Amino acid sequence: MSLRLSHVRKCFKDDVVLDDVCFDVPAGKTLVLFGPSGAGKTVLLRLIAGVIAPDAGEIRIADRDMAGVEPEDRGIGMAFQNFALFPHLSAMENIASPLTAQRKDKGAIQSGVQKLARLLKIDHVLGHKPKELSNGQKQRTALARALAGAPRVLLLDDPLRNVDAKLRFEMRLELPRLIKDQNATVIYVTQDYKEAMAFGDEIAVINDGQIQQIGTPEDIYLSPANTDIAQLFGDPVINLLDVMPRMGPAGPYAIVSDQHVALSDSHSRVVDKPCVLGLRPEALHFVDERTPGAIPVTVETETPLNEKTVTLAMTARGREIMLSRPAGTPGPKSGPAHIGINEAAALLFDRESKELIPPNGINAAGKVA
Amino acid sequence: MADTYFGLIWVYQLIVLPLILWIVRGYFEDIPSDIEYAHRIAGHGFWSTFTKIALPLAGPGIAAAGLLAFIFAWNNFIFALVLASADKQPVTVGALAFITASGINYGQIAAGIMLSIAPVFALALYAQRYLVEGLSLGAVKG
Amino acid sequence: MSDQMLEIRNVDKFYGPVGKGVHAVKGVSLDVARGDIIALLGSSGCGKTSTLRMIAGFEGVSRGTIRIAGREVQMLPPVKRNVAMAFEGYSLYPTVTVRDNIAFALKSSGKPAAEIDRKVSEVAEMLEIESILERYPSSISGGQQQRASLARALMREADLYLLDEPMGQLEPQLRTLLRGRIKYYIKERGLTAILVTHDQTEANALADKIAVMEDGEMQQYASPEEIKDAPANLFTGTFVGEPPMNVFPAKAATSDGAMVFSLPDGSSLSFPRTAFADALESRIMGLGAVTLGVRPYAIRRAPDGAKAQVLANQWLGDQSHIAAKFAGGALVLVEHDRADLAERDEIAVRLDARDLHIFDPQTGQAISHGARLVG
Repeated sequence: MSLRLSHVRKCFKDDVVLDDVCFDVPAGKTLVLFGPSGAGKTVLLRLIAGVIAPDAGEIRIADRDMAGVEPEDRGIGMAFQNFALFPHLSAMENIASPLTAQRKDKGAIQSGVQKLARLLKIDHVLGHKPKELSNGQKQRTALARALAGAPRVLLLDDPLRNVDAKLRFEMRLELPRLIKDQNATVIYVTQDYKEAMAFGDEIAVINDGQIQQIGTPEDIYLSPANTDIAQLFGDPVINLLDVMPRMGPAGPYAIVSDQHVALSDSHSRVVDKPCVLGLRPEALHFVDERTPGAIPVTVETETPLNEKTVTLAMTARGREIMLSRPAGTPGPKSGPAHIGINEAAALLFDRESKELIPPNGINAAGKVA
Repeated sequence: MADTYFGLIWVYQLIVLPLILWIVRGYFEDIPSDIEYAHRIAGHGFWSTFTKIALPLAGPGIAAAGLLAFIFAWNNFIFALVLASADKQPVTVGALAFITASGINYGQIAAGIMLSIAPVFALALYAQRYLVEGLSLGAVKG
Repeated sequence: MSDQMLEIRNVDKFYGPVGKGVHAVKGVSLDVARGDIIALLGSSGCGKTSTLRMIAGFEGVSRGTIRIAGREVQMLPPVKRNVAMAFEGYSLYPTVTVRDNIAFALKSSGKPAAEIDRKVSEVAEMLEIESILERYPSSISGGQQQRASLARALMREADLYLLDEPMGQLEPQLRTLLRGRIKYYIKERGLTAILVTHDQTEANALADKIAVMEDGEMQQYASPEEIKDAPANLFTGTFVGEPPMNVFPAKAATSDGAMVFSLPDGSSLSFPRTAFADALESRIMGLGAVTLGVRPYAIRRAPDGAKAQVLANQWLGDQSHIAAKFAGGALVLVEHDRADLAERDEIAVRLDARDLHIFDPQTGQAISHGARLVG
């Protein structure tokens, strides 16, 4: 069932927590709501669930206006960040809750719960009360309860936040498949960009109550609408360097530590305007000093992180730059070195508005309503 | 209304009601709203959520309030003294009868007090397990 | 003077009576060399914070000794131990500005005002809190309070700097930036620091050595590289590393020139016998059943490899995580480019003998890493 929000607005007293939120999730697709804490993500989920009402705007599920429709009549399943299990009921009764509401007969409830519990590997603790469950089991119970009623719309509020790193990784791989099997329309809230990229057919980046960009994971990572979004996606964080593009015989270029970095031809319209050059750490690499365009730096620290190695280096002008490379490949640990830039991966932003200046001339934020 | 059990009960109810409201309200407010939302979203109506979720979770609070209200009413002296005649006297006023012109019958007063404590004591023992039961332990992550 | 700044010997912590109460720290011993940064890494309740608080003097030591700069300190109160601590719960003085909070130790030691100003601006710039120096603690955010608390600790002159989850409240972007700077700051000044964290990325990034703790016991105390390349046991192997190490049970057998591990689903992995030293081979054969571990980024796709079926392929911008059905479980591999794979695609993966970690399934202790026999 499709879900559509148009111009949704919500205030608490004088505080505008959501403003002009519009999006459209086709049936069976997953939209990830990504943003820092306090961005309004949880409020948005509550509006969709119907436990609070919007001040303005419209929420439609399966093309039906939800204004005045009670939460129990919306056909929604929801997993809460804090699990919100019923403490006086067993895991079994918790999961069965949506089924009892649908007045299914006992046998159907039993088999429905058993099937989900086996899938989520909690069938051995169904008799336990929530306080007897580990965090991981609670999280799976909450998820099973959200899925049990075969909801048309599934709202998942950062369900992996309160579980340990190992389980979070396992669930990150398992959950998308589980969701696909349910064939529900999903809104998934997270603060972890890796989860957002792994789960979302589309990602909506929300900040200060407004949607800043909606796009596929590819759109968001490769053409972030502004520097804030560029900084939210990627670990280590993108390098942002103030530059002033110049026009040369071979087209526009930016200057980084006295070396020229070629820009796309369409960037000629921002020549001599203050800009920010965005360089992802993986778009930088160490090169031989004789390589044309090599930028001299001093390596400050090297950090081995599992699958990659991150280096913090300082340019001759005292600008910090972070580089990453696959673990096990050689690179300098300290002292002077030279780096090269993968120019095709360079992003250019307007310094004042912080917005992306797309290389092809098309507005990257074109999908923003 | 004067000198009837009904009148007495009515007055007692008035004086313990603020106490009950004050205690029980706190317990209801302590139930995380997400738990109630979760039940609604699972497909249950408002009343079902009230009776199946809110009431059981506020149970210890209701038990505590009930016990306190009972003790409060049981030990009340002044209203009973004013409103009730000899045959409708509660135990607090009745004990007064042992203070006579010829002297104070300490033995009988002590016995009366013991008897008057017994029901409160029994009720407290019975209500204890409801009081001890944690409110929403383990429901949401702390 | 000893070149060990901190020596912990057989330290136990009981909450409640010794021998009867909750045994939170069990016989921990570790040395920290002057100028090193070490991390105590573990999940909540593993005993890492208790250990740090015993070093600081906020918790009594139930058994064992702690020496700081060669001086036995376990009986001394915190103020006499000459340690500086940044707290997880900030604890700034609420009545003075952030600047005065940070400068507190310098002022009480009577340094000239110009030097104090210079040092405070230096540390404030490093931690990105210059703009809030004149504000009061109650008017700044949790993350800012935490950085102010860290700045205050770094300003003190102490033998040992104790940092309890110093970046727990910060946004991820700031965290990645600051870990590099903090390490540089500490190293440049030759300070000795102990960091408590549950975040393995932070431990890897900052520490010269990591003490992995679980259930009150120290599981391994080694450099990040060694923990990655040679985890002492199954716990360390699967706890440290993201994505986690792939592990599966196997039965070992030799035939001709090959060492063959049969897997639960009936398939098998075969390696040339020459890849295993004789001593290692006899150890493996002596056990028969072993647990094999292999890091996700050590697995490569190769046409002649073992068959596996893709369960999930997730692109994360700078890398792809691929999960595949293998040996009756899931095998995860990491690639640095965008992998063009869909669910149910068949892939072939190669596991090199030199990337294998072999564990004793009974004790969980590591037997070998690559061709190297442990011990």
